[in-house]
Amino acid sequence: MSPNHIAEFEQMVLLAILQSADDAYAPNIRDVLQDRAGRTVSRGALYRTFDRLAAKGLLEWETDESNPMPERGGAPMRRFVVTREGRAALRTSREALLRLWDGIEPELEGA
Amino acid sequence: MSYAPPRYAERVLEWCLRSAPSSAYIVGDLRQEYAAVRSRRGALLAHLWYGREVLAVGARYVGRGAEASGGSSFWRDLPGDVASALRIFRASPGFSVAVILTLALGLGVNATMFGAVDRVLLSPPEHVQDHEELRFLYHTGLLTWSVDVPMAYTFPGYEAIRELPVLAGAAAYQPRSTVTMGTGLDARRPTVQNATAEFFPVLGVVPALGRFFDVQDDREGAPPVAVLGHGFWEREFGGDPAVVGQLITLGSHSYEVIGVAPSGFTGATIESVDVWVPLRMNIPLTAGWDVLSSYGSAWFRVVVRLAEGISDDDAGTRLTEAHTADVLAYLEGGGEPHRNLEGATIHTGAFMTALGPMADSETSMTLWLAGVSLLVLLISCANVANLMLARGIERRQDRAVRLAFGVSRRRLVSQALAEALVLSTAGGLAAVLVARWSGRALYGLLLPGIPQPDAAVSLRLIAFLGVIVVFTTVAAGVLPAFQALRTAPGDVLRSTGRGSTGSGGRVREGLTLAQVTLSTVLLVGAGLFVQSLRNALVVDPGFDNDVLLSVEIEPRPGVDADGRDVLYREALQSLEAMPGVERVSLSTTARPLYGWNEQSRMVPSGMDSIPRMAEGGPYTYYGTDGFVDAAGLRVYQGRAFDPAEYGTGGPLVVMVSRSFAEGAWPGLDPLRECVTLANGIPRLEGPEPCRPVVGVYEDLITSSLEDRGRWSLFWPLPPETTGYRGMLVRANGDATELAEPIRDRLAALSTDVRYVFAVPMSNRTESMRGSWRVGATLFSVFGLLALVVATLGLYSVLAFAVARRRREIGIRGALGAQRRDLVGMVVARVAKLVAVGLVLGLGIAGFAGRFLEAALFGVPTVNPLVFGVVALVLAAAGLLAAWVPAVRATSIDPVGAMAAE
Repeated sequence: MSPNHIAEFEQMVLLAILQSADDAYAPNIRDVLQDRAGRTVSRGALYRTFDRLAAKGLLEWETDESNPMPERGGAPMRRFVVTREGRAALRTSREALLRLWDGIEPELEGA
Repeated sequence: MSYAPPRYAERVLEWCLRSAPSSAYIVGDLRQEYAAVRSRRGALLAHLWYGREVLAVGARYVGRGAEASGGSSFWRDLPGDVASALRIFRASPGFSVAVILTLALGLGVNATMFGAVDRVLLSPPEHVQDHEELRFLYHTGLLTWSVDVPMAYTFPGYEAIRELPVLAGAAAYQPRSTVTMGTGLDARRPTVQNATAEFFPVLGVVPALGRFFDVQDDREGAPPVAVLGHGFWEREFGGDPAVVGQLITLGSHSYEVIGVAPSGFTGATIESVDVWVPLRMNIPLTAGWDVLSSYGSAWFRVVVRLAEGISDDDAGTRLTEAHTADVLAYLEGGGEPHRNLEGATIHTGAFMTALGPMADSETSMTLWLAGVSLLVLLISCANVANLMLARGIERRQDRAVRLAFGVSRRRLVSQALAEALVLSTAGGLAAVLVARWSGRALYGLLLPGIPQPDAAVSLRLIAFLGVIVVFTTVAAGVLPAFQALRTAPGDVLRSTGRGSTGSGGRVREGLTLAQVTLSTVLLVGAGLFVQSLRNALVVDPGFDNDVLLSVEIEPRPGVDADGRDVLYREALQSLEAMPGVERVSLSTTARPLYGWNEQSRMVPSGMDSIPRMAEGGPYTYYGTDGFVDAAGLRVYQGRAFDPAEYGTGGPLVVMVSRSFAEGAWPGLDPLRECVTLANGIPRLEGPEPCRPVVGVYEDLITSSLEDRGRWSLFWPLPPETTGYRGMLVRANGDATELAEPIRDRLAALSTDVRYVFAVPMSNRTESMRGSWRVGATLFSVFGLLALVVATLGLYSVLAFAVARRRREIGIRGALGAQRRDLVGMVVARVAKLVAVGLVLGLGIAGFAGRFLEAALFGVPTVNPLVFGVVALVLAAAGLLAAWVPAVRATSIDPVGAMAAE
């Protein structure tokens, strides 16, 4: 397994971060996954995935101090950014999938 | 406004995330979402939501450290097990809710009761340093008057032992009393405690503001100073630091405020105190004579700190020696001998009074109820185990399949334990909510007058809940886990859906039986207390309790005895003209119907003297015109006083109680007898006559509802009497509604009025009923709780049995069994469980009842009425539990039931 291999859920999380752009905060990412991919994600699974992706160097986060929200009671807030390695991994994975899909779409028609 | 999630749950989350680099962010995210959920769906749902999320997130993180370090397999597998347990609960919410509710009620009630026990028995008063070195002094054999009060000490006795080397310090104080502060409508009655200068250093407390008094302040003739309690300072002075240096008037003296005690400090006991003043200033607050030099009056309590390395035995020996030497010196010096002074032994005892020989009824009631709530916990645990077991049986097949696929038995056991852990954690969180809600109510009921700690849910409480959660986990987790171990996959797969109740069924029946038994015990307790309360409610106090008030006027300082009489006469006129007042009578005792213990002062005709009575008495009641009519005495022989007998120079007569008449003149006509009052009214000159008895009335209650049969006597006062101390007011209707208007009216009567007490007599009888009311309320609440839980248990056993025997019932139906027989089958099961449980429960209750006897009022503990009612209630609960399963059994379609195989 190449070091850049990413599982399906990890892919979805990275894509959701890119979709959220400037609003890539954990709660929003969860909403995006739910709205666009129809996946109900447990918070625990999501946070563990962030940790794992960060450990692989595919994403990083910055602490957002521009908007101190009183309801967070002073706890910091982080915004996620997909790293260059993360983007590369997504691209690799997309290409692999597209190659695999090539020519089989008619077969799945009506399935 | 923004909401913060429950602190204890957040702590759990932080603990789970302790090794995660992103911990603070996750906590923040959940806070933010909690606030949103809270504003959308309310506190309860938000709490539940948060609890679930904490579990879901925590479960993902908690096993990680162990994983890395190759820890035990239980911990490594735990997150996965917990996650799968969570999924299972989502799939069967009814089961989960039943378990969590049972735990929440069982644990919640226990947490509250633990809070109360903790406060009374386990926690020292706040701000006291090194309380394990502190002791109260107790004595045996130091009799004062007729009663042995083991903590009451003489002041010379204190001075004699104060500087012994076995003690690191010793302080004397008086039990708190109330004193008037301010005047008229502004007057208040703060609680005040006299204490020596040693008091604060011995307890090791430091002031929040200013200073405490020292030996310079604590001496006769020193300028009066006072230390305020923190709560009183905030209430009365708005927490203003400038209070130091101000003057306050307590009783008839002005005191300079020199400091404020720290928040929550209540002295050496847990009852709150508003003001402390130096004891040796010798300004009387309550006692009107010189108590500091008297060997005859024991008004003080002594708290000491033992010197290092001194045992209680050593201290006791030295204290007794010093005390005896002091008393002997006093007697040799010509001191007046008081009863048994020199024979007393002194010993040191537990600093917390509730653990010492003076433990009061509140303590024993609290312990009783703690025991009762433990029963509720046992029932809850039995029910949870029962439910879990039922699930275990239902999931036998699932387990068998997993075993067949090679999942280890160990894994199955740890999964069962994880399920139990998740459930009891959720139950524990819900229990904290229950404890918070029930805590306030329970405190008011059990510990009136004792300030509740600020934090409703304390750390101790959480620790206690933690212990119970672990206990429950094991109790509820062990049985299903054993089941998992015993499962032989082949057997289960072959016997699909066919087995009868089997061994699991017997265990479950045993658990249900235990629930029925324990509920029976609690319900019997409830019945006994309810009956006691009913008896207490119908006790006739011997006077018209509900329409009477006793009223007392405290004149402003400087008003002499004549001035006081003038005030009372004005008050009499004013109240006679007041709407709602039917009758007013003045008395020379402050609380006219409380009775004045005057044994030595009277001699009935035909006797030399009145024999000494262990409980005190005879009691004497005095009043001016209309006193007997106002009180509404139950006169059953002779008559009440007529107006002439209340008048100046009228005939000198008395009325006596039934016990007096029957005790003094057995078999004789009391109306032909008389009583000599040894030192009668001061106005009379010459020898006191023997006053004829004109009427006999039923005995009055005196200090408790149970003490009937005290000798008592009524005595009419002529209008020119002096030395009035109180008045009796009879209202046209409910006396409680008149208390406030009377207070206002008399406070405005004259500038000489300082404070007015107007107390409905029913307050007194109500407080006498207190323990039965508390017992009846709490036993009923706990008993019903237990009944509901046991009914649920019965229901689940039956419903499960019916479901398991679907096929059998179907075949019977096909063979022509009548609906009646099918219902009979279900009901017979209930009947068996309820009958056996009842017999066991009533047996236990009959045995345990003897320990409760002292707490009851005129109720036999082996009580056919209570037992009968409990049996009926349980039978009804059994029928209720059987209803749905029975209906379900009869509606089973034979063909469908067999085809389902």
